[in-house]
Amino acid sequence: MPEVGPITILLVDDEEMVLTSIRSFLTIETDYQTWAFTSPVKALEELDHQRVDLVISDYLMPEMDGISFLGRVKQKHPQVPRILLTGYADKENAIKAINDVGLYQYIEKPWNNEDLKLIIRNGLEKTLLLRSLESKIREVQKAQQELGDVQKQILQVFA
Amino acid sequence: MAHDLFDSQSLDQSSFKEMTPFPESCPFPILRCDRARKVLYMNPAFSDLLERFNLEPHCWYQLLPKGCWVHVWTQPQEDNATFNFKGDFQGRSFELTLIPHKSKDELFVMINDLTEQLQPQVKLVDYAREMVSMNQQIQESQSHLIQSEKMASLGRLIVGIAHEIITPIGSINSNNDVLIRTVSKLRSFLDCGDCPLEVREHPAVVKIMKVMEEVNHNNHIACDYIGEIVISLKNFARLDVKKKQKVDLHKELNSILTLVHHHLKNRIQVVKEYGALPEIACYPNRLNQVFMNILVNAAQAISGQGVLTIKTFPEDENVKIMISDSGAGIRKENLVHIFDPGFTTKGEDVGTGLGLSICHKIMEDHHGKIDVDSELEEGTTFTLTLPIK
Repeated sequence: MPEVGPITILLVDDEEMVLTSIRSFLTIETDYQTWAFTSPVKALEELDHQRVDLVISDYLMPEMDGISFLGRVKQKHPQVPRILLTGYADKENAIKAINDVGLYQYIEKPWNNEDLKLIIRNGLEKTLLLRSLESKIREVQKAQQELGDVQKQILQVFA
Repeated sequence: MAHDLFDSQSLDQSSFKEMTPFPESCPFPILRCDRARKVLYMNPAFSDLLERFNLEPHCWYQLLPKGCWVHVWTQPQEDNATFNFKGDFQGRSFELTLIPHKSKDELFVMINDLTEQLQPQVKLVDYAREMVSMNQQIQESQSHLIQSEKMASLGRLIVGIAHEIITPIGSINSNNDVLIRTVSKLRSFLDCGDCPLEVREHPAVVKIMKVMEEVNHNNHIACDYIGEIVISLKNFARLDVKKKQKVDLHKELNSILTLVHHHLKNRIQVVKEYGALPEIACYPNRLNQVFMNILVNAAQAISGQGVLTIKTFPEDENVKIMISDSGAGIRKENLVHIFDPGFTTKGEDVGTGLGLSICHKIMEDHHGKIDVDSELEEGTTFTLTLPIK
């Protein structure tokens, strides 16, 4: 799998302690780089000029709820997998909203780290596959273009 | 009125009518007669009354109760003294007022037909009874309402608390996991060849590693336990209650068992005989209230050591959940009352007497039922029946 630089994960939760917990876990268990924000608005600003590979967001936050936040992330980076981490009790409404925004996964608090790792890894695999598919398509297009050029040259020579 | 009538000395019927239109329009039958019972005046209401009984006007005196005529004329009374009698004729009840005017040998009769008045009285008694029973029903539903409102606010409180503590618990849980992983990495480093022997076997290092591993293990168990309780609480007080949901009843039962764990631990052995049940469309939070109630009752019925058995199985179009305890049992005379609102044998400090009546109501709302079977000193079994469809 082609990898360009370290894998970057964006974490958003209004509770600093959750960010610290997940960051500590990812630091000890993976090579991923993590960016953590307590403010979804700041996180969105950062996303304008930074590339991320995966986004994890809390649901209930004072500035903006997790679903709207992830909806905005989708507009900016449609291919980045989005994960919602929630302790909210009204599951049914949450699931409805999830279907509206199209999320990769939904994790309930208290979460299990091993599950979290697996979900992140699978999500990343999906992005990386998509990315490599894109670059393959580009290569094929480039090869096709070259082929077309060669074809033209051949035609010119024989014409 | 009577005084005026007799005072007008030269009254014939026509002038009487003109002067006193009141007796004409009076709804009560009024009659004036002489001592030979000959009618001198009769108002329309009196004629109507006679017509109703198919009596000729000259036979009007048949309406008088036996002996009253003689009684009135033989009493040494002043003029215009009144005599009241009760009478019956063709199944109707009257109150008769006779006013003799002895000096003129005339008598004035007023009849009050009580039959219609008595009927309302009978109806009134029925109404009163109905009101009493309605009042009782209102009181019952009021106490149900208060209790369910209490449960609802308790539910909101629980959800609020669960939501507040779920984030820190998630964090602690994760941190504990991280620490376990970190210490295990440290352990692998100490055990590998790169680590100098004097570090690995240094008493302080050995001691620190031991304590860290033990504490982490302990925390792990504690975190799991808290996490389970919070999830059960959240489950118990679900907010999404408006419509029925398909639910795995065993999951719900297990969740409630977690919540009532402190009633059972080290004392009551729980035996689960779960059969293969389909998912049931229900209001899980309300059904959980039923499970909670019965399980807590069962735990309270067992004074020392005992067994609690939960058996589930499908039967025809229903599923059955039988919850049995090896407790004190319920007296036969109490057994018929246990679903009555307000009935309790626990004493006011312990029970409101509403628990089982609410369970009954909840099961009814699910088109199911709740039955009880009990033997003194042997135990009690509650059977819940819920339709599958």
